[in-house]
Amino acid sequence: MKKIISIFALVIVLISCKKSELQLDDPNSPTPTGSLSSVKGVEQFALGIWNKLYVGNNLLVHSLEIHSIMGD
Amino acid sequence: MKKLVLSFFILFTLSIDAFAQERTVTGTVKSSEDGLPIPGVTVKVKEVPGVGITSGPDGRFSLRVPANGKTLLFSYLGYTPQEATITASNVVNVTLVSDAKTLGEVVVTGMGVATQKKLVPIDVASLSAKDFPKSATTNVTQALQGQIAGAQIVQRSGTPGASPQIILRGYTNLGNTTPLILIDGAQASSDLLTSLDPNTIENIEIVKGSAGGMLYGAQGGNGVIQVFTKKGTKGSRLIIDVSSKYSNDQIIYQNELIAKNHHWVTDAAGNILGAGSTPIAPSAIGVWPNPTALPFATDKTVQNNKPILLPTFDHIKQGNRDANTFSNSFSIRGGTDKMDYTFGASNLSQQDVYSNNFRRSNMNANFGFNLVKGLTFRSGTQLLYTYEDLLTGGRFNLVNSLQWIDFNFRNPTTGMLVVKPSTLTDGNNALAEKEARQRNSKTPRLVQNFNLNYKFPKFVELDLKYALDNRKSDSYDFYQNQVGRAQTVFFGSVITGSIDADMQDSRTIYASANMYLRTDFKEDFKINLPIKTTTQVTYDNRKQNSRYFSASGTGLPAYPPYTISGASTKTSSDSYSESLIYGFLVNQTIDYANLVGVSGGFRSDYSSAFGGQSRAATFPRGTVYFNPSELFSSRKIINNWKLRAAYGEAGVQPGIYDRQVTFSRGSFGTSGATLYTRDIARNPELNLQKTTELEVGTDVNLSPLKGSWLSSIVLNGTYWKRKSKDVIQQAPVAPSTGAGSTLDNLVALKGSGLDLSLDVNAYKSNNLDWYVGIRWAKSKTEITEISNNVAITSGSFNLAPSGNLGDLYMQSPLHSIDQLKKDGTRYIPAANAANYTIVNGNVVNLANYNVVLTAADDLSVVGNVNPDFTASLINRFNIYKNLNVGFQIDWIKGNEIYNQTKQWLYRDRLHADFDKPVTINGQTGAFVAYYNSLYNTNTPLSHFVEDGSYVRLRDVSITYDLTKLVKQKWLRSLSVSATGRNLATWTKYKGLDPEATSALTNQGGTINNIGTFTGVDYYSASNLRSFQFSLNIGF
Repeated sequence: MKKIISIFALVIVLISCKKSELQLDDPNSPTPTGSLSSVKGVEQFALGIWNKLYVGNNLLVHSLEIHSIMGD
Repeated sequence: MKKLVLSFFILFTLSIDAFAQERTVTGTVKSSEDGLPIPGVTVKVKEVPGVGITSGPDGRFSLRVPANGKTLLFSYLGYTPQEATITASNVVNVTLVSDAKTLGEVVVTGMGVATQKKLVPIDVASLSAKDFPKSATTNVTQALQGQIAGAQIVQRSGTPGASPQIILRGYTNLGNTTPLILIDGAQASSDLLTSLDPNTIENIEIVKGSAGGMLYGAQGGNGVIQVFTKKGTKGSRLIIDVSSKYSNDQIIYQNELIAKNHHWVTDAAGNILGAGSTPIAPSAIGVWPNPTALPFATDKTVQNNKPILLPTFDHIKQGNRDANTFSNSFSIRGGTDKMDYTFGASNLSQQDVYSNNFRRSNMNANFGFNLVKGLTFRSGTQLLYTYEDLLTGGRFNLVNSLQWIDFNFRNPTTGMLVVKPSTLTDGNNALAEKEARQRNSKTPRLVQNFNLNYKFPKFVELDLKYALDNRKSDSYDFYQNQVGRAQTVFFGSVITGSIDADMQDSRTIYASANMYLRTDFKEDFKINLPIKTTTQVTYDNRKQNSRYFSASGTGLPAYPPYTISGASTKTSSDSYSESLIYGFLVNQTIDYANLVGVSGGFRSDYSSAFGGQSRAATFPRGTVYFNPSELFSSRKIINNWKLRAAYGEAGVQPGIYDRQVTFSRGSFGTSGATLYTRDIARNPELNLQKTTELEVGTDVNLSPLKGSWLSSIVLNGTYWKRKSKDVIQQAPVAPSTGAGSTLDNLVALKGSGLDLSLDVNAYKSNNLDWYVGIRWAKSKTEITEISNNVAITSGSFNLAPSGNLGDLYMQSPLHSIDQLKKDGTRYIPAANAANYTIVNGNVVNLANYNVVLTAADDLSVVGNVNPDFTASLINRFNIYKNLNVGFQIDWIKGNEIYNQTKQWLYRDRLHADFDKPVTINGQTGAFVAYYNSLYNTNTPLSHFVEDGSYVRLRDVSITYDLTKLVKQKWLRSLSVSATGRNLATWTKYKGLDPEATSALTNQGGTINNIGTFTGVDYYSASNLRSFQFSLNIGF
């Protein structure tokens, strides 16, 4: 019986999870903190706004977007 | 004294005589389902209480029966008790009939442990494989349709492999309604039900709501469907089953959609004229010129009443063939004293009525071992492989085409179909797609689970489960370079051809550790109280990950090989997602002598959707049941009567990354990658969507009559009431955020419903058994709150406080000449009222015969896509033991369908309605202006909302058991079946199939976050009407 209980205990330990394992970030998309911390990232973001501003043909939304995110 | 001695002497003599007449009765108990022996059956002598025995592992028994014993009683859990008279041979062999509907049945789902139904405090429905409709051959969900009261399982399309919509108990949220899917106790991904072969299944249990789903925590809000696969029997000999099925499938085609007449300009002979006033005729390659339309917009008298003299074609029939489906299955099972085993293989090859094929192969194995006393190990494996090369088809173009277009006409020079046979309607010949496109998808899948269970000699049971659901999907989509074709129109995104190759690798891992602590006050503590307790402590975790990679190339060479490497433009993308949930469950159950029982507990779940710093979401639960019948002195009529109530909370998670704020990526010329804010912003404050539910119900098992009629009636009724809060919705946000909307917990819902289920053994005699099952359910879900108070309209649906989920919200024709606008003024000034009249309930302008519609901002609720109730009638007859006949009728009542297909056909003035005369101001005719004015530029209009109620003959089957005719020792069973599925539909709906609808915009786009509905018919692929034949052999 001790062996059996040991096997069960071992399996429970193997399948258990730590709370830290819950920290699963989206690996597919850049985050504001990660991407805007470098000059290149800010440039890319500015290009994105520029792109949407003209190509997206949505002047009001994106001028306000610049206002909000660039903090001026 | 003498008399006393004499009496004792006589008694003594009689007892010796009786003892002398005591005899040994032997026999075997078998199951009617598979003819296998049943171990552990209780065998008692009816006339002598206290004399009895149980059958052995081989189903045999040997019982010494006193002289006055004349009848044996046989009883076993899950089977109908049976009486048998002891014959002179003293051999009594009986076959017990499984009775899955009685309260003796054992269920697991929602309870954690196997529990007799009479002690179950929640609504758990169960369906044994033997009760599956015989026509349910392609997937498991077919078997569930109409069988479970309250569960709406809608097959939205006849396309092979298409997933049905499953709503077990109303709506808990505005997104996903799919319940949690378990296979043998372990979680699997949600599409498993459409992949599994029904032949591998033993039974299915369903917990419909949060009250029962609480055991499953943050993923149990939509209810639970648990599939139990077939297992061998310990001590059983080798059993072999072979089955072969053939099915012929046709689309359901309720109504003609296209007009028989026309309203084009014609010459004196009635020929339709085109440009230059010449009769239209196809070009050498089969392209028809445009006919010239009569000026219906300016001439209100133009009618759609001219006969088409050209040969006409039914395009729906041209685009849908009679398809054949073959399926074969093979299984072996058996066992020794220490182990049991089953192994099976099956194959399904299904032609699509529209194009190509769907194929599925299954292999399954299940082994159970008694390793040492009390310790068992079980392993279950499902190996699935699906292959399909189906084409999506342009059903729009198939339907919206001029009557004289022959889609099967081939260009005499090339021998190929004409891609665009008419320039008037705006689509290509859907059938020609096959010549330009090849695609396929291959999906191997392994579902593997392991279970280790140890029962201590007393009190404690430990149970471990580990399961893996691993799936790899490989899709290939190739449009050839079509530059050389006779026309410049083409299929695909570019005329020079393209290839898309997608690969997806998905894995779900489930692990759980359970401890059960059981006590019996009488047995364990010698306390004279009939109390039994069970304490369940569970830890489990569920991990999911999925990797996706896609590569595509456009601009293919005109010569082989056609590869992405050879394409002029190449793109690729990839993504990875991962999620983890783990949680703890504690549940305590206390039963008092089968009379009353209470349970209570909670579950706490941690989820990666809320990050590593999050607190657990905790879901409490409480249940109670009371069996008044335990107090009855006689239970001849009411065998069992249970009252039950359950309260529980469960959750529905947001998307796994919905709380993480990220940018979208793009590209900008040669400057490379760009970043920008998401159009739908994520929200770090997003919470779990929680539902709280109360259900009360009763289960009654009656034996009202002792004769052949009504020997057993089982009634189950459940009323439920639910509230959902923090339901996630896309909320409009200020433009300064850079996003159009954000996800937020804005909405609160409340729902209620009633589920009734009746199972009746209507008649039972030696030559006829008649079973009747009735299912009936109604439910409603209301929106109680939108916290920003902004009603949301999406497509033809509306979400507004105090409204119902599924409300159709749109413009309408005016129904009275003095109808008011939203501002209180009249649509039609009183002075002009004489210029209008009412036709078919609609206000019509006499000047142009146009129907007058409400303003574009004057919308109203014109119907609801959810039914008032759903019902099913199931009948099964066993005639002279060998012949089984059954049928199932499903009834969906009170739902509306928005017939968007019809509206588009009004645009093209092709719909059959255009043939129908109307009387306007004393003039009768099929006025084109009247009908065309209802087109309303495809903006949703109530004219196209129809009653979607229907009654469907879902299943008809005749099975003949030939076993006794063949009389071969090696043959255990032999039967042939003829079945039909969806053979007849009675409906007022004017589309092709009232069941085949979904929720789409008027351009065929998906509608998100307003509810997951059916109810919009946008060129839906009809369901199938099937005729099937099968042969089943058992050795």
